Amino acid sequence: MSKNPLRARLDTVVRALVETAIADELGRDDLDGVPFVAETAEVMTRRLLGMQRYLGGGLMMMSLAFDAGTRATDGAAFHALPLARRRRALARVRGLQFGVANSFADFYGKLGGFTFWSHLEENHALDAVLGKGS
Amino acid sequence: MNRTSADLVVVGSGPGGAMTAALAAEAGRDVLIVEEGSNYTIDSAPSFSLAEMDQKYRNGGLNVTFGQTNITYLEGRCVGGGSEINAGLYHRPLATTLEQWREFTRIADFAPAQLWPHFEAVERECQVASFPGGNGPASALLRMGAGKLGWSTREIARFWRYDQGADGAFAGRRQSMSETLVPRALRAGARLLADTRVLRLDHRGGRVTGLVVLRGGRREQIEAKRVVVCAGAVQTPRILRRSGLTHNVGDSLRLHPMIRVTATFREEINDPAFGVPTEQVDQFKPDLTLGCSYSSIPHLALWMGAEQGGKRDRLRDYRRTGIFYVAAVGTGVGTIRDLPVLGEPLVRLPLTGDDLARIGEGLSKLGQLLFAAGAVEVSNPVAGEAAFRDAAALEATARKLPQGRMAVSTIHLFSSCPMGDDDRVTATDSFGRVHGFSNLYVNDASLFPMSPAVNPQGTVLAIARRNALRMLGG
Ligand SMILES: Cc1cc2nc3c(=O)[nH]c(=O)nc-3n(C[C@H](O)[C@H](O)[C@H](O)COP(=O)(O)OP(=O)(O)OC[C@H]3O[C@@H](n4cnc5c(N)ncnc54)[C@H](O)[C@@H]3O)c2cc1C
Repeated sequence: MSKNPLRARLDTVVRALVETAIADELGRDDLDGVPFVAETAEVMTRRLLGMQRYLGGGLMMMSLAFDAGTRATDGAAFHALPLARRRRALARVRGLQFGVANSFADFYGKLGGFTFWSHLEENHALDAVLGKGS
Repeated sequence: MNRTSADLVVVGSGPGGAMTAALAAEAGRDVLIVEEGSNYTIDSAPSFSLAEMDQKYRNGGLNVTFGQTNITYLEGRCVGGGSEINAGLYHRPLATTLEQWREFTRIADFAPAQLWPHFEAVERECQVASFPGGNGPASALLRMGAGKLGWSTREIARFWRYDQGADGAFAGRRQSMSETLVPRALRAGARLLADTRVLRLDHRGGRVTGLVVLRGGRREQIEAKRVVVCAGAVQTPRILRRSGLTHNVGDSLRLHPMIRVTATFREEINDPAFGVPTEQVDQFKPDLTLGCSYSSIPHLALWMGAEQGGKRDRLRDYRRTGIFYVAAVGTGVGTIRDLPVLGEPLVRLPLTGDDLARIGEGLSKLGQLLFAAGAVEVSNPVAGEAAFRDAAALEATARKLPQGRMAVSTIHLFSSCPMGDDDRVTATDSFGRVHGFSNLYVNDASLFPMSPAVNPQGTVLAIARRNALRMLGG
């Protein structure tokens, strides 16, 4: 069965935000060879859908609005921007220092990061990112 | 609609519900435990794993109280409730705290001497023990730093069982409700209905007649002669309010706000394989507790500040870094309401100026301790701000913590349906019977009139024991 277009859009945007959060965690502008990115995005989408609807729904709407909003500031939808520019766009939100923006940035930054590192640890794949012997 | 019936229905199987069900079943009552979450074994998923969050945490661990500073909170949602996902740290509250409670809501028969036997029974029957092989390197560091400052610390016992293997090594197992009181209740004849959510209670003329539950997507009716609601501090008032019971229900939620920092040392201080370090600084109790947390790489990543260069280098060095916390007795009083149409809880609670000052004081003390113990860097709990390299810089920040810019969380919530004979401020009588009802009780963390000022599970169990024995005898 094909996904409904809104859900497909949400998956794309969450994936882009999660990739950006992981790039921030690693301090780099590419994710070549980095494992568990897709799995992290899947868990994050599940978390969004599993939250109380008014919280999850709010975050989903913000994600979609943010994705569309970078057309005005960066000339393209967030998910279509190169990773380095996505990192800068997300950093701007983090810098806003007001509740809703912080919740949005924290959801992807903190929880996305935690989920990513958990995947690596649970699958004994930390070496792939941290180097041998970690 | 399907119909089931029982003499005594216990809603929720966390510490309050499991204790109530075990005692009632052993007293020969026909007991049905109705639990919203699923029935997993304690080792169905590794502790702190993503799978555990999916299985056993409400909403995957994402719940928020709203205020100038939002506070994230965790709740268990499985057979055994919070006891299945917690660290099992066990305390008795101070006698002075219990006396304060007694005066605040006029609780009858609540002298500390009347309560200690219940704590003793909990310690015996639910297996409270200390790890025989010491309590880990981060604990040793906390002790050392506190010692330099002349502050007292204490190793906290846990709901845990330690067995020595043939090689002499000790293996520990959490003594959660699914390991202790739930099987005890079932052995005594109680029935367990997991994956079943209580939506509301039916009542007439001050008597509950039954419950409406959601099971497998369908509504069902359960007939009950008595109902004890033990759904935890957030869910219990929701069930009562949905049933039209609002007198002092969900109007007085309290909690222990908590902040965490990471601290990096020259030498290795972190051994995630050890699990939860159990030392606490008790010098500043009851208002403040300082301690160390489980510090795996994912948890370190969660609590360390973000920096331009990412976290890779710092995480590679994870053995030199640990997570430390400040937990305060919160002064804010919150409300729990169900949102119309959505039917979801809206929890509002202010983090007060006094709370910020108290947390700041705790942070400043924690900073002194960590730097005295040799920390080279302590993360800044204020989002986006640079880490500290000395206690003076940390102290300056701690003195004026801002609202809304720190990750404040809690795992200790209570007081949403307080007990006591002063019905101007309580939802139930001195033994948990809901005012105006002859056969409806609350028996969980909701009953605490105020904070226990220590990790609450031991107190939930002891009070639940006291109240259940009274209910069964009376
Ligand atoms: C991560 C974490 C760590 C903690 N660490 C410690 C610690 O180290 N020491 C300590 O003392 N305390 C700790 N706590 C707190 C402790 O777990 C709680 O105080 C305790 O579990 C409260 O018991 P309770 O019976 O009131 O409610 P809960 O344990 O919350 O149990 C309530 C049960 O009711 C069920 N329920 C809810 N709504 C419904 C419904 N509508 N229908 C049917 N069932 C329902 C829930 O699924 C749950 O199983 C921790 C808590 C958490 C979350």
